[in-house]
Amino acid sequence: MTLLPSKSKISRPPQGCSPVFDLPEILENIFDHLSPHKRRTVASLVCKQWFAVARHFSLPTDFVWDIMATQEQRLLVLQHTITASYRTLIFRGHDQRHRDHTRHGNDIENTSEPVREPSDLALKELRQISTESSSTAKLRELVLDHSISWEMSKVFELLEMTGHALRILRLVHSQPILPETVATILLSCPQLDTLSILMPPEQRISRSSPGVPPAPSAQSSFVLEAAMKARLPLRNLILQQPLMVDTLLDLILSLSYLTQLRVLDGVLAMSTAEDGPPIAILLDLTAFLAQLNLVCPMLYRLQLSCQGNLGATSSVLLSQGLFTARGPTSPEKGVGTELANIKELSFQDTELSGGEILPPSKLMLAMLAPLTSARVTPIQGRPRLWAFGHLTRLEILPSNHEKGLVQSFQSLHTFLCHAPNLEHLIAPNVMIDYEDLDWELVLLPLKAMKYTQDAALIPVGDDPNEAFRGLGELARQRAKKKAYDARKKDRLQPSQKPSTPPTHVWACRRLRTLHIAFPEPNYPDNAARSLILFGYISKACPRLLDLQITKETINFRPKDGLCLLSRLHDLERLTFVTTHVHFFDPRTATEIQGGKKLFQTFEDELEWMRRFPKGYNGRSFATLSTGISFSSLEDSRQDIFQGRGTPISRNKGRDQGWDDLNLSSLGTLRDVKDWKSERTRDLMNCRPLWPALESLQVRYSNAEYRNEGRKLQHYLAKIRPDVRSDILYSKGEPFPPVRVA
Amino acid sequence: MPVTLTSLDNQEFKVDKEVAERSILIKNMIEDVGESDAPIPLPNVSAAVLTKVIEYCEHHRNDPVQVQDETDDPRKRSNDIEEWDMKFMQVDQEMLFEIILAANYLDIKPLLDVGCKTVANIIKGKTPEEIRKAFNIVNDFTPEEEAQIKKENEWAEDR
Repeated sequence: MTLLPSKSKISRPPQGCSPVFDLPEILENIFDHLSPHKRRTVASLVCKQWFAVARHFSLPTDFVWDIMATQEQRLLVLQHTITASYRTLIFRGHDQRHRDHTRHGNDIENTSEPVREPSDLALKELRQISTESSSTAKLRELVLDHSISWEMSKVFELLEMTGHALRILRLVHSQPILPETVATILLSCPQLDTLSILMPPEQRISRSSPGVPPAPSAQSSFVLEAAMKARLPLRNLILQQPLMVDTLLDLILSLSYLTQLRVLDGVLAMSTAEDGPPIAILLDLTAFLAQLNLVCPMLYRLQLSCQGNLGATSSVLLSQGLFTARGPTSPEKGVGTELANIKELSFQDTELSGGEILPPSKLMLAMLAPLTSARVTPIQGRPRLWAFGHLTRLEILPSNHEKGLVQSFQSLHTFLCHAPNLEHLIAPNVMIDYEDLDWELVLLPLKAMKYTQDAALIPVGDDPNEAFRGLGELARQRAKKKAYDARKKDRLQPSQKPSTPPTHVWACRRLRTLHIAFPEPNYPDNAARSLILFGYISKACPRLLDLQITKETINFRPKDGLCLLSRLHDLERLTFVTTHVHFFDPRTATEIQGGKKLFQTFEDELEWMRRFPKGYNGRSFATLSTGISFSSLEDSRQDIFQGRGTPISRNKGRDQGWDDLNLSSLGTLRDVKDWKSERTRDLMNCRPLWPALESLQVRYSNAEYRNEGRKLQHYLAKIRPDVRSDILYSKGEPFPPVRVA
Repeated sequence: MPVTLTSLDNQEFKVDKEVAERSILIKNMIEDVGESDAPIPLPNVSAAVLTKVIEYCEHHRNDPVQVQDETDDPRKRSNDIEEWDMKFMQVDQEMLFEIILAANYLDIKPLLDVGCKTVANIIKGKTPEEIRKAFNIVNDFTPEEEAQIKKENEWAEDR
């Protein structure tokens, strides 16, 4: 089949549609705002013109120097790239296996050259091209990824030939970055806008070896001084595992155009005293931040983190610099006034990594505690939290790929209640308690019920009937009840008592990204918790695009509340990290309530997820099946699940949380009933369910659920063919064994 | 100093120079011609559309020059539309397309971007058939071609 391959062959669209679509550049601009998935699966299927433009996006625009290509091809790439403006050159090697294969193939061996390192070969060929070409290199972006090992001296040589007009340099390097290295790169590339130096993925873990700074040479001092005086235009600086020494901080402070500074896993320098163990040299980050604010007024994204326990100590200093009062002369000043431009804040912490449930790290407490205690220490008569209300992004990340969960002890919840401008919260392994969201106190009687059930079962003394011996049946019942009540009162220890009612609702109505975890429940009320969680998020964060929830179990049936998330009309990506995936119970297929068969097949359980119900034609549609008989709830906790129906009245205004939500049915089946009505109204207005959803991913760790996972994958593909659904078994990923601190 | 713009239907609009210069086309014309009281003809823009464009430029007269953040996700977020712009773009489809064409002609990149984002948002929640219906586009694929694309899509990967 020959479909239009290039723009030159684009035919005019059929008459009748807007002339806007006649212009490929406008169509390209529109497609530029769509994801590759939508471009491929939706836009390219509209008409031939759209297909041609959408496919045009898929063509590679980067030039790749590939060790596997022939010498002629590689030279051609270099020739075309370095003298052309607005080009990206990527140097790509291959792993050892491929390299060996290449050596025995007909590529490098046939060049009658001795086998070289890819970096040597790249430099040699570049030198050859540079000699032949009379014009200067105009390369815009250079990418040196981890597939080729580049010594820094070779990088410098490469930059001498290509760095003149370079705007972006992305480099993967396996050694801690020294300040003079950064300075040399900056001087070699005087127009550099973005410099990113990262570690190879396999080395992005905590380093045990201390960073011992080399003795400063006269040359390195000269280079540093020259770089600091050069008034370089760098705007984005991203360094992973740099050696954290004063000269690096001084160099950063000389970059006055910085808008983004990300220092990841900084390696603290160690003293080199002959006697005794090396001691970490702590930096005065407080002073650094104060100066940073003065010299980099455009800085809006900040990430600073150091490694290990020593790093945490340093990080506490950092957070003090960020969030706490700055000396006796200006006690009212904190980050809110001094770093008011910073809207995106993230920190990475080795303490957040581990194989179990962890208490909050020192860094996290230090970062979040001042936020939550804000009401106590007002700034100029206003709550301190107002000073942080401008944050648009907060990332709390573990420093490696382990998946321990971290308790946040309400601090994160409180922060969310006071961050109306927050757009992205990425804290995939930080937990928020269900009780913090339980606006209707649904869990309180459930907790009490569990307690009372437990208490009633616990015998008094060795013989459970000892206390009631000799009494008649009626008297025995009364005595049992009395003992039960007394024990109920005694047994509610402070730690077991349900938490106090939440006083604030999340204020982050603009949230678009939410990656968060929820604790494994110790109570048999998972359904109520799911209803609370999904109901709360669906109302408090209506603009979410990307939602990732780590939760012990995920069930797709409407009764468990996942359907409530369909209120998030903009949702594009939905991810669950879990232990147990949806269980297709054979009984549900034949379950009968109120004389009506609820689900005919397993597929019916997921039926609510269709864009439109079966048989929908815009005017009439089959009744939505929720699998719940609202009129005849026979659940023993019916009163609880029905909700109390009192409207919320605890929020006083926008500044203390928001009072524009109706959470009166939160955590109850009435919320599902409301959802059913809302969905019916949507259908009458021809609104599909999750129209923008692109990806639905469930990562589960319990191997026993692999069959269920496969079934789920199968049914989801049938019900939502427009969504990329991945149900993945991921060994040992989500919920570790519980060890509550 | 005010500048006079003449629309397709010969209506004249007096706007401040700095407002008019949000359009790169007009800015270049002013630079080429020099200081002059002569009206600037805009034969491709109707009065109704020019009114909207001027409203946009007035509101954004003090905006800094757009700088693209190189490190951001290359995929621009179509939801990143300011509240005012979102309300500004709440017009019927015909007017929306007219504004996009005018922004393209007048070379007002921020307005063009907002317009394209708005169209992208319309596309986002729709299937190909719904898009055709919404924009009055005829499906010129044969069933075989459509099936072939869908088949290719099964193994294609998003970059």
